[in-house]
Amino acid sequence: MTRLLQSGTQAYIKNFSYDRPEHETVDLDATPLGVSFVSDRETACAGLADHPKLPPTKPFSSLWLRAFIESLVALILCLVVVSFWVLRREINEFRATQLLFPTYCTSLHDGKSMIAIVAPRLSFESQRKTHLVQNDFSTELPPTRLDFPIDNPVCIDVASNGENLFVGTADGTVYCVDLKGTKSLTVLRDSTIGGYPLGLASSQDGKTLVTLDLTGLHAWNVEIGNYEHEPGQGHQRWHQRSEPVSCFAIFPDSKTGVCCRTNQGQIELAEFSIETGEIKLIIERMPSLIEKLTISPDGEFLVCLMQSGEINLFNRPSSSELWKRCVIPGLGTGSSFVASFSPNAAMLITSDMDGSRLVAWNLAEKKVEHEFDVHYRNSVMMGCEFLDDNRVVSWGQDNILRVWDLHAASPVREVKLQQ
Amino acid sequence: MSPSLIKTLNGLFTFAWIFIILVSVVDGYLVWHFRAVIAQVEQNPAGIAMLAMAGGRVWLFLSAKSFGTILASTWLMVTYRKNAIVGIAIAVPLALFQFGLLLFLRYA
Repeated sequence: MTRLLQSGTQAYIKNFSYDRPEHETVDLDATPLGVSFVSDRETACAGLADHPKLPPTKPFSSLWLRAFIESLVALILCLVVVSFWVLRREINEFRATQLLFPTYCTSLHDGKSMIAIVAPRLSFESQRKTHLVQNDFSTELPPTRLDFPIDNPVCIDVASNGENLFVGTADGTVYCVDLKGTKSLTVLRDSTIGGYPLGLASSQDGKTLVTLDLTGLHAWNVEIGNYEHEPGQGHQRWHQRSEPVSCFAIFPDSKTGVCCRTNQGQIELAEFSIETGEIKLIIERMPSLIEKLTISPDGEFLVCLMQSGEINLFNRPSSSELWKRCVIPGLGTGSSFVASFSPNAAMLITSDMDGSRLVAWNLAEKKVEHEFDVHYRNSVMMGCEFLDDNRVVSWGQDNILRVWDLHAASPVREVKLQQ
Repeated sequence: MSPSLIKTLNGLFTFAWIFIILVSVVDGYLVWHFRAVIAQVEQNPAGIAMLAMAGGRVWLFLSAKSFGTILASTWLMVTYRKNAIVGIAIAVPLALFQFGLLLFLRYA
């Protein structure tokens, strides 16, 4: 019996013959890979004679083939691992779409509480049932769901005295909720009168509520008392249905409002009477529709967030003067339609072009006072409002309400909405 | 070489070798995931050329990438088996380079 043995970088043939043991050695160029058995010495010697110096391993030899197969298997295993990772990520993202996110928030004017409309992020309309939550930022308690029998709220506002909450729902009903007293519900407008409310705002004195739907502006008496059901009547004071209106706001004097309307193809920024709904003054013709109007608490500043992304600021030192454009260098763009005045009317906060940063403008000095990132990547900021003169609450699609200290430019509180 | 050193070298090489393949697969996944914009954001000239050849589609680029990965890892494995020290001397810096690439893909 003859055996081809390998040791270190040498190979030798050993004959297992008992009577005459012998062996031959040959140097190898590479580290030996194993031991081969041959049937007789002649075969082994012939093999070695053909290759007295074993040549380097060539491509397509068994070593290359084995390495190729191992690489292929490793690649397939890595593909499986990455596929699992991707699948898990997709599942997590799908789960995230089912979380709630705040669509709109409003302050209760007490410096510590807000009410938010929250909605599941699923886009199926039939499942998109919104509800109201209230959060008190002075406590560590999680937001509480408001269990009023209000179905699918779409817009809200709180009276400046914090006593009444006004809620417009998807079916067109507008409720007035007594927040301080009996928590009773009053139906200001039932669903037979108009369609989907696009916005609502309470006057400063809390006596009038103005709503906007596709048929125009409506004004409602808040103080009449409980609603006596008379379809088409209700608490309605007037209905201004002449021209399409895109947005509106009410001045602190509770007598005048401002709206953006389209009149004979012209887009106008106009003042209207809260008492009668009549247009009192055309402030300016605008180049594009206005998405949102915001008035400062002292009534001196008016911000127009244009659908084109521009921000126009108007100033009127007193009600006897005309509105004039107020130019602040750099205040010109914003993608999140965010604009809020501080309660002392000294500061205006807007978003940057990406909608991820807040910019606080000093209105007296006409310059940027603070600027900071508010929401993480991949999350769009949906709005922000001052809680008091130094703190701002922002909300976005990351499902989080964040309270910011303007001077520290850092979040002092984060409230995550739970499903 | 002592058996423990051989085990350590084997482990180190295997880890580096699999990591190189894994990063290549992740890179391929990102190419597929961002296939709609990859023609605009790809920075590898060879990749850009292949995307152009395939009319903006990623199949040629992905095929070449997979084939190249298998070829390179086969060569690396053969090199290691012929000479463990040389194999590790190539695999470890390559794995570090791939780690840098991974960080670039993640954060850039």
